[in-house]
Amino acid sequence: MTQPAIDSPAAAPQTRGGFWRLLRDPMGAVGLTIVVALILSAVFAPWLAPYDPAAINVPIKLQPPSWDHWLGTDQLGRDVLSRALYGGQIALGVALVSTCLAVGIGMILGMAAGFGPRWLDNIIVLSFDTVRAYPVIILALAVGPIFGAGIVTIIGILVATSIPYYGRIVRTSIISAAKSEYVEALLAMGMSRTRIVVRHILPNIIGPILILASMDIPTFIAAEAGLSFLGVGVKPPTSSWGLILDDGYKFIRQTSWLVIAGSVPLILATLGFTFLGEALRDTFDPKLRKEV
Amino acid sequence: MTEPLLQVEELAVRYGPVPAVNWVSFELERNQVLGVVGESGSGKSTMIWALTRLLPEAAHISSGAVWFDGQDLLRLEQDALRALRGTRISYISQDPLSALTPSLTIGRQMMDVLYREPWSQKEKWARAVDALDWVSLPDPQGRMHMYPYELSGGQRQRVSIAMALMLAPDLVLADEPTTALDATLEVEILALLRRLQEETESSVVFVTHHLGVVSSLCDDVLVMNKGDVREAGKVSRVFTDPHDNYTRMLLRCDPARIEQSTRRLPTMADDLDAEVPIYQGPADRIKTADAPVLEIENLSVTFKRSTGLPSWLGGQVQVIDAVRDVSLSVQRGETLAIVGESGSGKTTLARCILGLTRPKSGCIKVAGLTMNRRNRDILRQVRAKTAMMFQDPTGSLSPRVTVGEQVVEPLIVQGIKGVNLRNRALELLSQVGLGPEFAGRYPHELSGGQARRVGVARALALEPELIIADEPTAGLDVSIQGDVLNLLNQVQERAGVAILIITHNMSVVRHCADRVVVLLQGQVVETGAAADLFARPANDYTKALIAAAQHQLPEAAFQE
Repeated sequence: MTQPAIDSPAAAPQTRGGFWRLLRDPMGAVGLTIVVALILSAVFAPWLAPYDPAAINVPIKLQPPSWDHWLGTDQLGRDVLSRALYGGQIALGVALVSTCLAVGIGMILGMAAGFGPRWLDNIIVLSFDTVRAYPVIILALAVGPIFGAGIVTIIGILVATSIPYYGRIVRTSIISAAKSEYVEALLAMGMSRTRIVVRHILPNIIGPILILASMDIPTFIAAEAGLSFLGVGVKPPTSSWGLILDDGYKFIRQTSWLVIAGSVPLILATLGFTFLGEALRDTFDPKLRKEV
Repeated sequence: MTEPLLQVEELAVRYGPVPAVNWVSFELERNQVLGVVGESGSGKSTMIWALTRLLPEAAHISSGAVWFDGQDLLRLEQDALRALRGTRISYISQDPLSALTPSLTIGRQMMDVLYREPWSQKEKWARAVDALDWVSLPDPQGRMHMYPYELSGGQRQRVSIAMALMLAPDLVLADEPTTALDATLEVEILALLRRLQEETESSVVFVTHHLGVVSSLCDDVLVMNKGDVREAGKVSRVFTDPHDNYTRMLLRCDPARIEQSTRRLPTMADDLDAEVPIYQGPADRIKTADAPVLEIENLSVTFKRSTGLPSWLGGQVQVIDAVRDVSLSVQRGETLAIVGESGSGKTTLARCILGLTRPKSGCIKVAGLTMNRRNRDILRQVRAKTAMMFQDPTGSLSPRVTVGEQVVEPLIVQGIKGVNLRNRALELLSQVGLGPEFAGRYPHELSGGQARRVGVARALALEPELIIADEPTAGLDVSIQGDVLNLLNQVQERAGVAILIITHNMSVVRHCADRVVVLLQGQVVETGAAADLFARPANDYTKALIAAAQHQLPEAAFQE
């Protein structure tokens, strides 16, 4: 009985940090690398970008890649690489902030609805359904002019329309977990409902939510591009991946480089966050841990 | 001497690199019943699923042959094999609810079994009704229109047995078909199976961990342990004169096979020849002089089930009496068993004591405190003095919290400060015989018996005056049941707690309880000291319960 934990196989994974387990999973390592690279390139865009993303130089418009302009230039002669790097700031910023807010608020409301009193559940579900009844674009077009175009409006719209999505999932999971015997056992101990939800139920449902969230980040990036196109979001000359893509479609007959420059970061972001989400779930779900 | 119906030769199954069944060989004659017994993880279920290649994807049959009527099932074409399943070979599964499709009527599902037959719809319907009548289901015509959820567990199992046997298959593979049923129901279903088997002259392979079932139903028995066959032979020989040490230990451990009441049951770790100490009475363990730890007076609970519509729209409210006018008390250091079948109100009673269910009338006193669900202070104090162990050993533990954190959770809930939680957790675990390495584990990494021990440790955390144990041995192997009951008895000796055991298993009652309360449909039908109750049961229902437990004793079965 002196050194009991050493050769116990079940105790071994506990001693190593979750981060290292994440890196040992190839999918997690790839996902994390892509995500970190994208975030770093966005954060350090002012130092990495070779040109001012807004500097117009019409004589060299729509050039293919060269040593001077690695990704070529657009219809106004602006450097596409610089615009893609700066565009990452908007895209990732909007997507990450919206996701965090939507997941956070959605979880709190979902928990309140799922484990709170009946009347609160009714109110929350009714408001979820009300918001969900409007298509995102119509809502954006209606609300946009009231608050004025800009990043804050975009984030507001994205968050408001995705809260019900997360809220409903959390609510349903909590209602089904609330019927299980371990919750009953905790209630019999006299534990408060808040503590049961936060400490015992939440860890069971956080995994699927993380996956959904990480898969939603690319959707948010695309939504930001779409809304910017509709004039609700970012306005030119500010750069965003959505605007680069939009320009690319307009000038696809002259050059394909604009579409590539706009879509490759989008694809990388989608892959990176999806891999990361999958790997996070595998790592932090103790039931799956043995297979990892 | 005709050729045996089923001949299994050197069958081996692996899950990846892990062997599950090791070179098992046996034969089954026509019109014979073979019992396969073993603990969970012994490979008995894997073995019968392998017979017709219905294994999970991870499993793979590495060697062997299964000869069925001249064909090797392991090498047969998929189509030919599928033609055999359902007509000449059929299954009865463990859980009668999940074995039936929830969204189709019984009639639809019964007729589906006959889809290969060249009969008209009308004829299939008539045959299905006949089959339901055959398994003694009351009102078979009416049942044909019902959905599975509208039937009770026993009725559902009758339906799935009818489905399995209506085409009179040559071979029936039954995987623990009575495990999920109450004791008296189990006896009924076993009698039914025996009758049907004799009428259809089918051969049956019957997998179970219940030794009593084997003795009352089977002709031959196969004892399995860790994928190996430890012993095979006629039931009458194996149960009376086992050759293998493992078989002898298994038979010795079954609480149902020990007729003398004892508070120290034999376990697998014990020496084979050790004497089982006979229980000498409670001595001074029970403190009758003190006020009772639990006192219940005239408790009644009703549930309302409404159809959802208000009454002026034709909605109806059905009132169900779950508990009717029950009074009982438990002394310090005493074990009281509440006995009854599912639906008899015993779990509702326990929930009332903890304030989880609101009684309609009556009074509950725990350690001198009068229960009042509105008064948070009293509720908190009552819960500090009472601990409940729920039925499902693993399911009642929070899945994402380590064992070490869970056992001290009651201390945190009660806001007790100044305790080193880690040390306390290790101390509690060692009290139930678990080493410190268990503190970092999660519930899914534990076996059923270990999870049950964690449940006991958590119950002990606040040093309660009353422990309520709901079916403490349900779902556990025979070999572990003794362990758990011994543990509860030890805890009581040491800490002097009062224990309320809720069960339908009379052999648990025999080895644990000082007094017994028998509940039937929410009412107390009999109460008394355990020894008297077993010796002279007054109520018919009590007699049936005791008989159900006795019927499972092999010796009793042979005397019939």
